[in-house]
Amino acid sequence: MAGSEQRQVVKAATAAGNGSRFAVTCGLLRQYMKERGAGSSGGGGRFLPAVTMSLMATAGADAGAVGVAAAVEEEEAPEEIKTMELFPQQAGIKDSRERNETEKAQLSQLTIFYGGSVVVFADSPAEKADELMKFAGSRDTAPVSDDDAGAAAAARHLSPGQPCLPDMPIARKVSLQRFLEKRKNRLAASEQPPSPVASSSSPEPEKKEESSKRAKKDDGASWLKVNPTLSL
Amino acid sequence: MGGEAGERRLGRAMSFGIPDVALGLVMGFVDDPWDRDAISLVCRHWCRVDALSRKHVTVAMAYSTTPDRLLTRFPCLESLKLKAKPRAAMFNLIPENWGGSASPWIRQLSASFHFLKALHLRRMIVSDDDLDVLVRAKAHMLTSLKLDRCSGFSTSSLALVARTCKKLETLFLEDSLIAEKENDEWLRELATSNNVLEILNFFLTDLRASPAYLTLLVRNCRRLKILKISECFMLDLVDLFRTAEILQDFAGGSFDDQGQAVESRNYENFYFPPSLLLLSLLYMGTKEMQVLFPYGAALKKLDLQFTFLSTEDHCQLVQRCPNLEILEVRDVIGDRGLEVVAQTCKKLQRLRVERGDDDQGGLEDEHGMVTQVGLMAVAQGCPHLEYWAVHVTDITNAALEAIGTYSRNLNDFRLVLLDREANITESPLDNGVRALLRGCTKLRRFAFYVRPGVLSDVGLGYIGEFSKKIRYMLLGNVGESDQGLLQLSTGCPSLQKLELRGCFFSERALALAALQLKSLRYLWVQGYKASPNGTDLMAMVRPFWNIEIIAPNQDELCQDGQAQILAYYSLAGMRSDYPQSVIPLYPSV
Repeated sequence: MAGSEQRQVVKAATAAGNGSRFAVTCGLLRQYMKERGAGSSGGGGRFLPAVTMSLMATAGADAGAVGVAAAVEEEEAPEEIKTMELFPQQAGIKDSRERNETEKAQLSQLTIFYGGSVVVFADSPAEKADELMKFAGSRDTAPVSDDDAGAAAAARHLSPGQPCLPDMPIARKVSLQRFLEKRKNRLAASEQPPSPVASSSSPEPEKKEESSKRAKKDDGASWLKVNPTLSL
Repeated sequence: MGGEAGERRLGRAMSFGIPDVALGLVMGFVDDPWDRDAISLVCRHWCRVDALSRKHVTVAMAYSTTPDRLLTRFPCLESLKLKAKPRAAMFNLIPENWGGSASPWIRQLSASFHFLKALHLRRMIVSDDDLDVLVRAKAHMLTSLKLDRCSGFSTSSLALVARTCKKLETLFLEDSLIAEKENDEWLRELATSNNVLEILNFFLTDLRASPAYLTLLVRNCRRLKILKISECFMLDLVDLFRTAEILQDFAGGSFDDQGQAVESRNYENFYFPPSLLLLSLLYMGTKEMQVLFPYGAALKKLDLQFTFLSTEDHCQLVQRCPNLEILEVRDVIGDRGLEVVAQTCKKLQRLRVERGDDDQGGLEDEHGMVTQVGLMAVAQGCPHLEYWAVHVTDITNAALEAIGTYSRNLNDFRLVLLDREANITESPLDNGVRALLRGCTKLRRFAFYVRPGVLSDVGLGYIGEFSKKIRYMLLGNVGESDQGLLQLSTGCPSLQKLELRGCFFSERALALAALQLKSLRYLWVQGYKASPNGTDLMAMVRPFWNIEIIAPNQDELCQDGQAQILAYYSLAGMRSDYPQSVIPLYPSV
């Protein structure tokens, strides 16, 4: 009986096309089960509070929004249920977002943002971080020197406050770009006389021709001039 | 199911308990993964029944979980899809060594997933060793292997798969980078060892394939319905088409007749099997196009992205194809071509208009341009459109409004405004976007990539307000200030995956938005206002939220000079396989 009822719900949801009504119903059920508490379903054991899931994927939103990948993540072994209780407390971290350069635990990763660089230390003891904090508090500007591999890479891109964005050409799908290059070569090879393009390996003449053609249309388009290596 | 009566009924049902067998049977009717998720959240018992009866799972981000977790939850999985590299990899924006190795997954899948018979890997690195491990464990089971935009393996592995996986019904390699070691020996192996293959796809790869082996394959695999190959001279495939009586979908080949003797360029007797409904052809020109005319009325799909056709050719061809459901073209089709589409293709469901060769130094001679004119025609003429991706050179509010009015079935709309023209007719497009989102209530995916000034902060606010169901969004060059993004992030209740490019948002705004968007679990950003010392990004630090910065690429092959942020939920913790160019921000919390 319950099965057929359920089946009707399933059918209704399928008919609705996107199943969201079904998901909402399941959400209600979940609510109901939570309110009824554990033990009422035959052999079901404790109910999964599923708090983690909600926070993880939807932050308490309706279950309909929970994604496929999330479904994989949602599963929690019994012992991990403990972490769920930690969540509300940890959520408080959002409020302490004014935190400073260091993040610490007893022996864990230390990330420092300083002078436009990010430095990451593995297994850094907490006292060290404290010392650093004090040091940072006492001085204003002291260059952080470190030969961590990541730091060099980081310094390259987090250069102090890029004030404005350089133009970013629209990226082209690689598969299409490959085709267009081949196409260009083939056209160039097959119809040498009509176009001034002698060979595909010397794009200069066609570029000139093309850009002069273009100049008529759009002289003010600064983004067209940027970074010709970028396929946009 | 609200109301007291409903609750009583429910209570009875739950307290008597539904037998597991019944529950399992009922769940068998639920295929939609979103519904499955909802079921699994009802209670722990249902979660377990669902876990044991779930046949397929998609892991949208391979680093969001671990193979062990997957096994614990879904030990009976039969089919798995895994995705790793960000979508930007398809646009050459992600360093080749970014990560995304399939090794840990394939090892676990091979060892412990005893029911697995279908594997789909997308944008991952798969080595020959990985495939060797997989084949050793799963050769007798495997019915479907999809290596979708993957790299790292060679034809030796393909030969091994072909030789040993006798039950393979689907072999999919589209757009993968495959090292060629033994020419097309793998194809001969496949043709001689397998007789159940239904789908073979190595479209957009550089693999060579001899017509003789292909024909042999078609002869031996009598169930082959879908054949998508690399470049291969079409006239050499005449025998193949005469043999393939049930072939429905063909892609590849080549009409390019360079290197062919003049006498072999005659398409008069060309033949496609009558079963053929879906076609993607390479290097087809005006002359060869006529080959298709007799088949036009039967065709449901035409992919003309990789052809030499002009605007006029598109008009001529499309006119003869009134039953098209899928059409893929470059913007050379022009407004004129789209008007023909609108008049002719009343059943159209999917339309993709890609960007042509408009680079400096490009040879695109046809000047096909797609603007509001073409968009409005299609919106009015093709009411069944569900998917519409289009690159335009101009766009107006009225065109977006028309889409909102007529294209009620759209669930995926993507618009990119090209930079061919310096000016567009109208700006901002805030009201148009609002009308579109209001009208297209089925939208799940939405991309709006324009240029600075075209969508203001107000427009971003509209997006937040009117995109209740949208799960995926890509926004490029939108907004004026942080305020716009923050406004957007107060809405978008279903947004799970957000990609931003070239927007002038600060790290702080990005971090706040990431916290505020309640369904968000994946964020990719390129081009943003970096804070002087980078600390502002730390505002989004929270448990299980991985943040990685991808340094600007120094590699000439990969063409970009802007840092990227990638942030995603993960139960797997910080990944350990990142290269130097990836900086994980993983403060302990």
